[in-house]
Amino acid sequence: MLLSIKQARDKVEALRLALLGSSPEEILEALPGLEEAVRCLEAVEQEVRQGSCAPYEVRRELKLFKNDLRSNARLIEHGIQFCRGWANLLGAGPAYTPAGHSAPPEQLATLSLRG
Amino acid sequence: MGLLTSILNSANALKVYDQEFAAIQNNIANANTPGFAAQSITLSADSFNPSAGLDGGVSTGPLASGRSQYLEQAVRAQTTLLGAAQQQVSDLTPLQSLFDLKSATGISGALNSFFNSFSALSVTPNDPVARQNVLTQAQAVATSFNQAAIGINTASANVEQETGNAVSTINQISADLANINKQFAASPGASTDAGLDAQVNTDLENLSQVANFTVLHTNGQVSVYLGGQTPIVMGIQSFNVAADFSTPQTAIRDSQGKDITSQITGGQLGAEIQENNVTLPGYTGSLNTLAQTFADTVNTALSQGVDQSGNPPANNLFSYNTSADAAYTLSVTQGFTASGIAAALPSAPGGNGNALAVAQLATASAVNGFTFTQAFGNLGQQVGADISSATNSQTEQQNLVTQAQAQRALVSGVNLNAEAAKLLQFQQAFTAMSKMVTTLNSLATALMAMMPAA
Repeated sequence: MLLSIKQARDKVEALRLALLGSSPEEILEALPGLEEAVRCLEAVEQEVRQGSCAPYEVRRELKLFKNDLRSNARLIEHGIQFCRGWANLLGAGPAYTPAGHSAPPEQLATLSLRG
Repeated sequence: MGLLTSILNSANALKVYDQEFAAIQNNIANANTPGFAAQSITLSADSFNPSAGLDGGVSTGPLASGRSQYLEQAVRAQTTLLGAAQQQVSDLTPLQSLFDLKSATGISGALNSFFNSFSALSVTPNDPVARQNVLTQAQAVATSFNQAAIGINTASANVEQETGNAVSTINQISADLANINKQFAASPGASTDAGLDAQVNTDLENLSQVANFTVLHTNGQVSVYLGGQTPIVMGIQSFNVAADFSTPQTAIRDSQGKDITSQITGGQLGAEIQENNVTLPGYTGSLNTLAQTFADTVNTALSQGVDQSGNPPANNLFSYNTSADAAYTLSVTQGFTASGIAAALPSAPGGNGNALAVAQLATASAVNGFTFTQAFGNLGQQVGADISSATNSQTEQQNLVTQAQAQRALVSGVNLNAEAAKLLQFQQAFTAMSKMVTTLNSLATALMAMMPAA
């Protein structure tokens, strides 16, 4: 039981490291690991349902696992916020405010045709 | 187009590409310079209309900095939060040993030994050794409270000193930024100087560690507003702030002497203000309440009995200064002797009735519904939780700063199409991970609910 949770923590740690990098490919590479982490937790769940007792170490490891998840959730949340702001900037072209929102056009362009 | 025109165009283009090459070389040379952002030359096509004498070709536009203020702001915002968390950990960690609930030498251990000494006295109420032991343990309780109070005062003094250092750092950075602004003002071309630009951004990043602020960029110059309101850099002028420790509450004042403390909510300085004005006084208040209640309760109980001569006690066992911190001034009353301990009840002089009553205070709900050791335990838990929360926050913020720096490096100076593509990939990756982490968290929560403590 303890080993399964430790394995799940290792996969979540791999995600944390990927989230600290600057490559989306690296982040997506952590996905299979997370699927494995889900399977690890499901195995733990089955053992608990079968009546295996949960010693102190298991509960402590599970608490640490939840801490790891919270840390990753904050990184993901920050990443999403960053992308949202950056999308605002890209959408606004060169005219954007320091907060990342589109700035109103300064002046209208005119086009005149002759001939 | 004549031959001469073609040659001129080619020569001009060579000059332009030479400048582009110089910009690239500069980028490479400064790749590891803190605060440096890659630059590129904006190329623009010249009008081509031979009949009007316009021969086409290519010209340079202004140097376009790849740095986006948005990216810088993202890094600075996380750095400010990191600065606060680091400061909290550094300031509060020394308090941990003072509130250690398992320590035999701390307040918790001293309280237990004190009440145990009264239990022992109740067995042999007229034994001089047992009486002397009560006095020794009473002194130990007083000393343990004194040491805890001194520990908090020392932490507070350290925080004050660091507050002064933080204010000095702010003033130094402000002066440096005003000096850079002066260089921008003196030379119109300086606004495209990558070196100066790097200096500005390094200064701002360092400042973000110390306090929260907003920055406005105008014609290459920066204006900095501490707490978003108080100007500390405007053009070539910098305005010093100062720390005021003349009252128990630390105040930060602007160059006019106005109190701007409430504006400083982040960075090291924000954490220091919070600790000196809220957190540490809170600990001191709880410790004083405990010390005062303990002394008053024991003194009142002893006043109900009689001493070895059968007389009511002439002095209280414990004294403290009511106009100062009770924990800091708690002591065994000078001149109190072992024979003066009122171990007996007036109805049975020479007996152990009152010693038993004092011993039973160990389990009495004397402090807001808690026993003395429970009340100290609550305070210890509060300190432990504050340190633990600051430590977790420090770890998380370090991660967030690293991530923000990586994101800045990724998109700074990249062309718009590449950025848009990268952005899309990132959004997909973050969304996928968000779902997985939510699933894992739900599973872990359900598992914890299925695992009651043994």
